[in-house]
Amino acid sequence: MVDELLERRVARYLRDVAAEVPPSRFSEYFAYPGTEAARDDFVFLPDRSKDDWARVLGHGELLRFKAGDLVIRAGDDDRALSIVIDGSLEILLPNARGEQHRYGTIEPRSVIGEMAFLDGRPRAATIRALTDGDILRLSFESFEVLSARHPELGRAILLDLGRILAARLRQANDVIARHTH
Amino acid sequence: MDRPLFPNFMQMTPRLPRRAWDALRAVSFAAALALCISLLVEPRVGLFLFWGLLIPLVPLLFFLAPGFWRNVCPLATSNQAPRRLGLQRSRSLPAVVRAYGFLIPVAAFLALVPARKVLFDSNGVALGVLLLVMLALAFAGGVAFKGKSGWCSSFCPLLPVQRVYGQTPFLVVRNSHCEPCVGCAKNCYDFNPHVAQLADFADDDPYRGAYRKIFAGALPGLVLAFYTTSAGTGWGILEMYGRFGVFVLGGIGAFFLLDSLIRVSSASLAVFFGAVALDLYYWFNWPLLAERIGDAEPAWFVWPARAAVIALSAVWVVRTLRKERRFVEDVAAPAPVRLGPGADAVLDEAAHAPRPEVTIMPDEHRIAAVAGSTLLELVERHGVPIEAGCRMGMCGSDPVCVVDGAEHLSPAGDEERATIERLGLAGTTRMACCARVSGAVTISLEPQRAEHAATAADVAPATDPEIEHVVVIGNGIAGITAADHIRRRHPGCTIDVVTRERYHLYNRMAITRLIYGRSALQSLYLMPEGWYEDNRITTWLNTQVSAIDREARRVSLGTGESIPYDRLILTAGSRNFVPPIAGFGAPGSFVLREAEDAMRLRGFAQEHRSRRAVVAGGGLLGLETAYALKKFGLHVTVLELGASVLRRQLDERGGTLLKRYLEGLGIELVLEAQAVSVEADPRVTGVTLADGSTIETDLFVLSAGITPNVEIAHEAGLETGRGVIVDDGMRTSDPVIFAAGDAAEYKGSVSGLWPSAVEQARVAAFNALGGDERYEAVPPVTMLKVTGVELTSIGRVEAESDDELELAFEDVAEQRYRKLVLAEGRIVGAILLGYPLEAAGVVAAVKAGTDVRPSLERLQAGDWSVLRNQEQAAQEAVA
Repeated sequence: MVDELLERRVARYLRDVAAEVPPSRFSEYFAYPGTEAARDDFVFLPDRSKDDWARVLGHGELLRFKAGDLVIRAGDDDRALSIVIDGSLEILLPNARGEQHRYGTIEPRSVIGEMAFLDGRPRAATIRALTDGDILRLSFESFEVLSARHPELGRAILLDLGRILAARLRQANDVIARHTH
Repeated sequence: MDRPLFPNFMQMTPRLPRRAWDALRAVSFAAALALCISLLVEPRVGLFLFWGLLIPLVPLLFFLAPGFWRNVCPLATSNQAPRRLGLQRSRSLPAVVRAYGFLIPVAAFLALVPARKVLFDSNGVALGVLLLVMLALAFAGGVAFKGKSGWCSSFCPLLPVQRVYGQTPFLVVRNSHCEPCVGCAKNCYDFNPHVAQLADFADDDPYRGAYRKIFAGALPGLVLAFYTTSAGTGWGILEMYGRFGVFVLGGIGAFFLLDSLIRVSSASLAVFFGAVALDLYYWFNWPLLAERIGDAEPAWFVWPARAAVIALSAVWVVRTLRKERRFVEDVAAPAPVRLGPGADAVLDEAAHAPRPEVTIMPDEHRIAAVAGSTLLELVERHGVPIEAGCRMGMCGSDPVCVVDGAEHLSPAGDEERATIERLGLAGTTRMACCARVSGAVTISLEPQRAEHAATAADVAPATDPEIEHVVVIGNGIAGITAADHIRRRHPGCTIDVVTRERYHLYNRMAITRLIYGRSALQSLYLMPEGWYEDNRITTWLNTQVSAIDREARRVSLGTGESIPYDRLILTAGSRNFVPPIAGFGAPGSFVLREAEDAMRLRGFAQEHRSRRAVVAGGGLLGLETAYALKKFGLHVTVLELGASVLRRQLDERGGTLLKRYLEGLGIELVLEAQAVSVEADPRVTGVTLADGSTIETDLFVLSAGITPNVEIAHEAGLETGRGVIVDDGMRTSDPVIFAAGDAAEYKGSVSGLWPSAVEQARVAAFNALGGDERYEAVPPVTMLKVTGVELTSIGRVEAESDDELELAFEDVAEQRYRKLVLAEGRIVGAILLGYPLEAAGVVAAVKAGTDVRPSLERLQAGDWSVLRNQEQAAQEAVA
């Protein structure tokens, strides 16, 4: 989701390098009809069956949130992978003066929390609900249970998250490379 | 869904219907033609209209409502006419034009402005021809190239101006030309006006941003050159372009200089340059406009108008910079991770399926639960700290207060209610592990104390007034249960509890949590603070019993003191059995029986940065220990003497499935392995097995069963075997001495289990006061407290003769396994691995000794719902 590298990226962008933003994100603003970029890099478990998704669901818990709820609090030790089922949320990060700033929104059917899930470190950002909705939360312990019962699915989840993070890292590396050469 | 941060035109609502725009376009096109004609026919009027009114006001229009202009611009109308008429050939622009295309309008604009001075300002015919040529070019571009790429989005000399000033419209007007959008231009202004300019600066192709920089840098110089160059100097064309060139290049130079020096983004700098150019433009233009429309000198509105434009541009700068910040924040935010297509149906169903809502106070976590889950599972899964022990409602570690919706929980059974009573908690309390959810429930993790402790009210009064002193040796669950029952039935006697341990009663079943948990012993205490005092129970912690003097009825303590008893209850428990293993005892070798053991182990592992652990013993405690060590972060290997794990609780198939699961969790299991020696240097470095192989390890934990503590009883002359031998009234061979729990041997066996200890202690206390209760051994129910195992094992797990029946089912896909052992039509044993919802019913049927022969066919077919009904019937009978 959001991590230190990202915070550094933000700081850098906010300072002076808007021009160094990787294209993949803003190309969404120019998603011309019929040319929507296929963003397979950022699709989680693209090929898994309904049965496998039912297993993921069965090992997670479904949480209801109301608009305004803090679904994730920065600094919390909460090693869970979450999937937004319904509703929109916003990512908040404190700026230098400690004020919370919106830093992107999260739409339904997306994954959040994959960083803390993998490295077990405290949450970097606060996530606040903009609307009512549901979230599926898979704690790390539940994931361990899932992968002990279904090792192949567990392996697929880890590999896929790794692949997504690698894609992100590549983007970040591109940015850094462009900025430093 | 939310409105996007920067909506594209397809996401905007039109302000006017397309027909209205067509009408406006027709009017403006006709006006443009009329203007051209007047320039040719009556140049003075045309020049005045064009340079005097239109050109001074158009930048303001670009600034305030750029979309309006782009919808009604006659050039755009001309460009789009072929498309509307079906004449467009829809070619893409050549690559070279796409790469350098933006330089064409920039060059045209920079060339045309100075040309005003020498030609177009004064020559109406030239201007008229120029405009007609532009209309024709726009049309031709429209015939050749797709969308608006033939003119508006590529070549129009006003496009660069519009991209600068139109990036934060005060009034957003939706593009009404492109129906549908054909994606003809990169970072298209008409597609997404708010981000088109920023997108160029942010583009992968650095040249796009550079062209924007050049143009923004050029603008102030161009304006300054224009208004400081008099047309009447008689300069030639070259001199005129030379002068303009100096100003323009000066501006561009200033831009690149500042861009390098100041820590402001290029896009922001371009905004400042644009604002300065606009302010300069109107600074010079208002007086000229005033001159043209009237001869009042000085015009009253010049200064207010200049101030207004400066103020407006300041507002625009602020808005644009804020928008840039939002854009950057949004762009820098990580790309969202979407779900594969298989997820949709499953998640839709989950979102819409009725699910009971469980709210956990005080933080109001709202969980949409799966009906049938226990409150404990829900709370644990949610990551809210809660203790857990037996998971059968007996140990009392997980009381919760039901704030609302108690009727939506499965009713409490006898054992659970006895536990709540022992804890002295209010009627709103449930043991989280027992309460299964069927509807909306609100709970709090802070149980309420009962207003009046449920003590002597419903029990027989003291039976024997002769009994003044009761001594209990041991403060495990047997000892404290005995003391509790003595006190309830005999308010008057003294009760002394003597224990070797340093702590009050804690949840022994949960001591493995002391290895990986953060809260040390504090959270494991089972009795509320003040319980001992309230019940006038004197506890002697860290005190050893040195002898029992049965003649004098006194217990001698290791401290030299002695206490008298009329009744003595022995609940000294057991210790770990330690088989002969050479080297066992070296630092790093442990047993795990008491809280102290677990805390020492955690301390040792931290101090010596242990990485690996070997647990000898694949029984319940051995596996739970292995899991705790794994959670602590160690690589764990379990050694099991036999051919499978949990041999007392599982058959071979069940053992195989469990082994596979544990291995999936990352615990290594070695079967038929016997540790013969522990290698140490001086701390443990490895374990050598009987086959000669050695496993490297930093910790060695032995879990090889228990040895009851019988030495004191034996020395006192009581009859002992493995434990202190008792009859079914829990009496030892001395009628005033009773025994219960791990220390007691009943019918040749030592149970070693919590539920038996509780029941034996109750019987012992009752009988010690002169009652006559009988202990009935029930088939033991055990669970493996390893996350995700969901194992309940009851009684005998294998048939012992041909007359007995085994019904076993395996669900291979979900790796679940269930089995019943039937003898004489009754269930005498069961294995439920992965069937948490079935467990209570099977346990109820076993305990009740239900004759299942009437439903044998269904059971044989795998339909065990009849057993679930059994549980309900039992609970309804209780309720």
